[in-house]
Amino acid sequence: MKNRLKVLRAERDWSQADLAERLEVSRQTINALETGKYDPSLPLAFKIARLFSQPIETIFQDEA
Amino acid sequence: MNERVGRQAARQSLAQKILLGSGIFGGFVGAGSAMLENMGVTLPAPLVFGATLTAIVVLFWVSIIYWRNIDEAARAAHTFAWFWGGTGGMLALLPICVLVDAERLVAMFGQRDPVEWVALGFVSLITAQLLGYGLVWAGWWLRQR
Repeated sequence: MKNRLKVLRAERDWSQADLAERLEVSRQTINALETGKYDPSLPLAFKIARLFSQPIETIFQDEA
Repeated sequence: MNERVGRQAARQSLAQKILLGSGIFGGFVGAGSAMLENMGVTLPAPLVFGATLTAIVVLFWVSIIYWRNIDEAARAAHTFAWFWGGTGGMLALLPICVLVDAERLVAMFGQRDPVEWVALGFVSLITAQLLGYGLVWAGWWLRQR
């Protein structure tokens, strides 16, 4: 699954560690999410959407 | 770092240290026990049973603390690694079980009593599973980079 996490983070000038802290996950998890190799759970996806004040579908795009 | 994340990270770090410390302590206990056995000293069975039971309870408790304080990707890595690495390690032992025979075992480990053969089988299984688990766990994180 593709996502715009890296772009959204860069727009706010946050480091991976900053975003990890805000989402209460590890920096490794943020890296895995940004590279699109790990898909978040629904609760984490909602948390990300709330943090960036955007709908989930504008952050995550299904490649199917 | 906010307070909640700080506490969570501290608990996770503590649990990791206790898990690692328990492993090292277990190794020392095992080595000590083997040394005593070689010296002809046999520990009372209730003492060994009690110590084992205590270790299991402590390790389980620490594992719960650890599990509750890691994030979902870390949990996914452990779950994936245990399923594929643990079962893979177990399956990898099957050909060895087919190939091995009593004479070969005695040649390798000497004449042992049945309890020791059971213990050897158990340790072999756990070792193979942990090796598989460790490899797959490391591979899972490398793949996410």
